[in-house]
Amino acid sequence: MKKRSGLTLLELTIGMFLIAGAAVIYLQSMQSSKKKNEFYSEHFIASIMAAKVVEACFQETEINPYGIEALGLADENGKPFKFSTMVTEGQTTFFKQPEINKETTPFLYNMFQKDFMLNITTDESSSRHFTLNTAFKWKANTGPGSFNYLCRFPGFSPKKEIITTFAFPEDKLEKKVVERIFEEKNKNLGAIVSSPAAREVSLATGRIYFTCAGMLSAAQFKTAMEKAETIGSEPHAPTSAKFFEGTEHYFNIARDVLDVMVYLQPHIETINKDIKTIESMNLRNRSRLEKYIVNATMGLDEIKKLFLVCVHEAASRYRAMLNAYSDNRQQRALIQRCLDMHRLMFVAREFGEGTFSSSDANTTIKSEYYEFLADLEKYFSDKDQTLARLAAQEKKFAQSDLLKKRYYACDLVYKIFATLATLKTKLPEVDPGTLDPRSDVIGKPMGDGTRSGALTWARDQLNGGTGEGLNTNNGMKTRDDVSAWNNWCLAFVATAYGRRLNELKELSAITSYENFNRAGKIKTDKKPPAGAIMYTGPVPGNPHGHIFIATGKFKNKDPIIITTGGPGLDGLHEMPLSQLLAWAGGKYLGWTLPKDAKQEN
Amino acid sequence: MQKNTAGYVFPLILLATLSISFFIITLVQLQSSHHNQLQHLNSYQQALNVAYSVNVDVTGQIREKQWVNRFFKGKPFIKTGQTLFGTTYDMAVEDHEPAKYTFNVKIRTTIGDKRNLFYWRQRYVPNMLDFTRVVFPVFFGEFPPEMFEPAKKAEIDKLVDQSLKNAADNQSNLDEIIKRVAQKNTPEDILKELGALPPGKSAGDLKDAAKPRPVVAKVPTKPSTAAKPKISEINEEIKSYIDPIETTNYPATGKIVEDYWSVMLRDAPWGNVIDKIPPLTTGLNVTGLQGDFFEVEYNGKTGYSHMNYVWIPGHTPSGIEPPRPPGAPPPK
Repeated sequence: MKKRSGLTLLELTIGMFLIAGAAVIYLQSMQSSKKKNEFYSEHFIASIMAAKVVEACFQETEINPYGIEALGLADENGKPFKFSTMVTEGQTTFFKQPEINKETTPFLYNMFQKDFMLNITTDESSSRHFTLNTAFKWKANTGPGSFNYLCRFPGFSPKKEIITTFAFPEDKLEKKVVERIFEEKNKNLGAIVSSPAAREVSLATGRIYFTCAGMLSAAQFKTAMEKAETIGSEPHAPTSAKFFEGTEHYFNIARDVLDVMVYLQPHIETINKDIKTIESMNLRNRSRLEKYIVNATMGLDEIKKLFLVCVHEAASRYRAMLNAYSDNRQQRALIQRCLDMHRLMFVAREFGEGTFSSSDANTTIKSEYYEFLADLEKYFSDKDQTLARLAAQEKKFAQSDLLKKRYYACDLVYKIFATLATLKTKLPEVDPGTLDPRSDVIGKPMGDGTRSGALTWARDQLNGGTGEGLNTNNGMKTRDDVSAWNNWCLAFVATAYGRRLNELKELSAITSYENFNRAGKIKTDKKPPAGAIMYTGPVPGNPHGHIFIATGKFKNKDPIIITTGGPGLDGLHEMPLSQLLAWAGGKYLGWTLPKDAKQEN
Repeated sequence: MQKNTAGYVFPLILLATLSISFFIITLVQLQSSHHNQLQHLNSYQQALNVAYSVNVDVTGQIREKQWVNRFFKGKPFIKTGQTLFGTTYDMAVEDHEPAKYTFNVKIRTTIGDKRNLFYWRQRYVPNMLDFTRVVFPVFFGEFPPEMFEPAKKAEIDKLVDQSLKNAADNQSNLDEIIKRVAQKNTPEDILKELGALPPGKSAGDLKDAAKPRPVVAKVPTKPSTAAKPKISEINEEIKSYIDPIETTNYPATGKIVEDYWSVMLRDAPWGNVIDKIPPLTTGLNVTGLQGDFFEVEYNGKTGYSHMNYVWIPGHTPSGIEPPRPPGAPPPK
């Protein structure tokens, strides 16, 4: 039998089938694998891109409470909405830096051109946060592709409640008010002030006064004030530890003051609302309470000035530091602080009188803030979009007067300062009382060297008095001639003080003023106590200036004085300072309160 | 001799088929591995998102109440088996004693059989001036999921403390390195300074090694030039209204500052004179403050002398005769 060589037809057919089958499976697997790989690749990139969006939201909201709005994921009222866009060629803010385009990232560009859509749905699901659903949807070869991340982000300015460490203890308040304000002991406040509303005013006054006193005498606060001024005046580089320390002292003062003012806000409001209820109190208690209301309010007004000065200085120093640092993390921290402080100053600018020595607070605060925001927006436009957007958004808030609405603290500060300003207009004219008159100087040629003696004697020369005071320069008395002291202002005041004050032993009023001024004894406010010696400066025709005596009384905050006359104003007169200034001209220079002279001088 | 070729091709075909099958199996497994990796990556991101979201909610709750009324005051706030975005999580929030205003947040997520533990140590910012900042993170990290259990609290806190201590200890070294690097101008110089060149590599092997780094422009902000009053001047103004004497503790030892006149000792503020204290008397026992008068013990009597004439620690008297206030009894 002949042995067959080669393959049978059957073998060949089976072989062909097997090879064909294997080839089909292989090709299908390859095709499927290619599609799946492509899908996984797209899915992977979509997840990375979605993570980038989440990261961008994180970066934005970390520094900007309204970051979700700045990113365009909520409208200007903070209301959320859906957002759907392509991502190539800077069509969305999330992929602008770097941009996905044909030239720089051709692979990504080609991929995202395949109908990749970024969909973000913002849900204002809670007062605490927004919920963002970040999704990519695309048409994959294997069917529709989709991928999404859900994440929460803070989306609102926080409300903080503060309890200051300087608050006067409530359990000791009534006793303190009774003792210090009403000069009583072992009594209930109700036994002194019958009206419940007036009692509340008394307690509110005590809270303000004693809390502020506590803050001012606290060691840490005093140290911060001393060190801020000392280090602040030294020339340190903005990157130095000393510069930072000085800045922190300014910050800490402003921080403590703000916390105290926030704590006191409802009590300022109480006095503002019910100040009229104290009118029914007896004279002594009412005048005591009035004095404390005025002192608490005016003290708080000065503390407000301290706050604005420190906030402004700290912000200014933070800006100097910002100019010196190039690290983005440090820049962000400094910007956040700067913005908070500028925001508070901006809303408080109309109450900033006295904050600047030679410029208007409103203009200065406004222009510095806009300049700062413009600098930030320009500088960060190609470096950190988050900060550029924040600056642009902030400018819009400021221009549209939205800072109070957007930031709880701004609203609070504005309310505190506005209430304080209103309260100042309602403050009573406090009667400071009178010095006990010195009857032994009445009818005498001169005073006894004491303040009360000077005032008693000066009054005795006015119309209705004995007029026995002797002008030794001309030998005249007002009893005989009302013009006895005309143009002898220095002699009149020196005689009232018994000719015992060395500073007054001069040839002109202005020289005696210089004596006191050199010794640092001149105060320039218009709150002279009874018997204080007051001055106005020289005018054309009178190079000697003018000197006169304060009565310690006021009319509409205008001090009442006793002055000698001259051309056009014969004799001695008791009148408001403003009237004297209108008559005599000259600049008001201030007042001094000499210590009572000793008898043996 | 006859060559026997029968049955040669068929085994060959079988072998080829088997090879293709193995190749396909490998391919499928590779794809499956890609799929698993992707799923793992997404799960991790999902876990992180959930943990971050829960932490956002925690800080949101803190900002709604005063710190003294925080929801985890006194004892740890622990919740387990919670769900957010379809993910199960456990959370624990607790004070970090003894550091003031500091708290720890632990969030453990479970996705499938995979668990992650995220840990934040955060500090509350207890002032209004930093009003856009409620808390700031002191530490963030991940730990093995079993460390969530309360029994492991000390262990995890110790690890975090150690990590923070290391960071603090290394800060001066880091500052020094930053300072040194800041002085170098090219990547080559920086790598040499840090000793960071891989073995066998020279700086010349690196692209643009000698290219000077771009100059970083500084933020063009400037300090203000507007002149302001000095703090000490404002403080003096404040003191003209508010006397810091209110916080003095009594009894205190005082003295009379008047050096010529005797000072009245009265039976009440603006009351009757019961004695006179000679000028410059020292060692007075001052037991309180009533109105503008110190309660003083002198000569076996307790009476009141005006604060303008009596010195005690923390109070500098003006030495100026005070006016008699309206409504006060007239002088006798």
